[in-house]
Amino acid sequence: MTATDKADLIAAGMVDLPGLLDALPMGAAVYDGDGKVVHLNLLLQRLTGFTLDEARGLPCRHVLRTATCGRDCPHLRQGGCDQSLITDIVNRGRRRIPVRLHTRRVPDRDGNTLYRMDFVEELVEQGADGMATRKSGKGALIGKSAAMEHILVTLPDFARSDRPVLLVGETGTGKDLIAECVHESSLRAKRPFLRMNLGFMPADLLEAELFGRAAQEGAGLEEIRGRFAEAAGGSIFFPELSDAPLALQKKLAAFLETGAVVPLGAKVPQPIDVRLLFATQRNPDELADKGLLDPGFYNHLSAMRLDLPPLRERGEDLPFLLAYFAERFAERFKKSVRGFSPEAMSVLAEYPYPGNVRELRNIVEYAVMTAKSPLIVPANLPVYVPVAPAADAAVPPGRGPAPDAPKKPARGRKDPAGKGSGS
Amino acid sequence: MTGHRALIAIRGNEVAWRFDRTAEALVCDIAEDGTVRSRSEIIFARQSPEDLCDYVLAHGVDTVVAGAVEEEYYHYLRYKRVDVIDNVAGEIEPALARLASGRLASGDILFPGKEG
Repeated sequence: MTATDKADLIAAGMVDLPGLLDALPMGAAVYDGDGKVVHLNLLLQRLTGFTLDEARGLPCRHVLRTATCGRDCPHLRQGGCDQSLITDIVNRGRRRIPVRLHTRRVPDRDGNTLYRMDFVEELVEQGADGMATRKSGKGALIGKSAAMEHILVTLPDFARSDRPVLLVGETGTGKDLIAECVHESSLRAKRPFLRMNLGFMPADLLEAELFGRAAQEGAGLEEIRGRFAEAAGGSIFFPELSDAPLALQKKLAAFLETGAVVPLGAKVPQPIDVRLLFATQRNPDELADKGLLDPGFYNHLSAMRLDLPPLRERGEDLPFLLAYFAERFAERFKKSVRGFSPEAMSVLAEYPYPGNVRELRNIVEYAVMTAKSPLIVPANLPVYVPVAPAADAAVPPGRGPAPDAPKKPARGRKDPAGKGSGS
Repeated sequence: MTGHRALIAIRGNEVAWRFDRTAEALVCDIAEDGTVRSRSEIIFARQSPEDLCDYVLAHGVDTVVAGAVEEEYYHYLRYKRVDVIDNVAGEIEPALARLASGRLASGDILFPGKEG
């Protein structure tokens, strides 16, 4: 058979096109002129969670479920021209998956649209928290304790305001997450959210970096736009308030007063619409008493202050947090971990979590990674988590452990891995 | 008063295919005998799952119906003791009829010719 003959087979539709689509290294969907599913290749069936039988005949928006389905449908916009865009889908497993979507029109010999096709490439989103898909928004805040209820009730009010917010809490209590949540829940959600760590920058560069700098030809200095200008319409989050030098605090107070900044070397104030969010691990009242907080600046911040409780004061949230992270890491590591043995739960209930939720998450990540059975046992916990309950430490030598004590010997405590910088 | 209150996230005349991408909802009070006692359409200022969750909790909604619900919002609502019937694909009326008769389940596909 010649090459021309083989080309004729394609033209005559005698080639196994579904088989060809299944062999593609990306998801592929074929729709009819009404946008109803004609075919989903195997990879897209896996990605969406729909089988071909379920999907066939359904409007494509109910199968692919991208963020652009509806009015922003790429097949409807720009006259249905072929396009590529980055969006996300939510599959039947409730997972949001970032994807690159390529839309193509398949015309007949006369140029009329016969089919429309989507090619879907899965993108890997690696968040700052190391999870495969970073979650933000209120759904990421977990807890049923009174303290968490208070936060969940207060957040919408904070989000609606334009006043600066001060978040106070130990490391790992979720200050970053809540700052992001305030931004995401506000009308600024579609504008930038910038995180600005003041601790790593020389004081003389800070002002220019934040407020901008006019070009100074004589001094050979180039113009700097400034983070405030970059975040216009959005929010800037400062994760450690105490890193701000007093001189900068006075300028921030002036911005909060006037809504304008004066770039270095400029004479005219520039109005900028930016919301400021601050966090600190330290007690702000003590910082003020020690003269480390400018009183005028602190007055602006104290109006909307939220104190985040450490995990040890949220005992009732512990089981749910453990189950939540176990489920997420089991999915991430493709392990069949279903939960914790009673012994492991007992050990984890006793542990004080100095690194708070971040440390708990790290412990569960380690435990799920090392688990060999559906239930996490004390042996799966990191070495710095003491497996013997504190009361057992008082048992005199030679008396042996209590009958229900975990089998694993107690080990010395090391610095917890969950303790780190930031919130 | 017995019965329950349901919120169906909608887009046009269909169950919203994405909970986080809709600004419309149908809120219904359903009596124990399956009668829909009241129904009202809510239009939100923007597409926001946060606003929908706030509404659900503030208005004593017992059941949320939608297409895709991202796990974060699913777990959040379940944790707040709200039933979530997700992955529903179909028009509003068949979905409401099934819900009222207690036969609507997650994953139901209700478009004509696809009903299970």
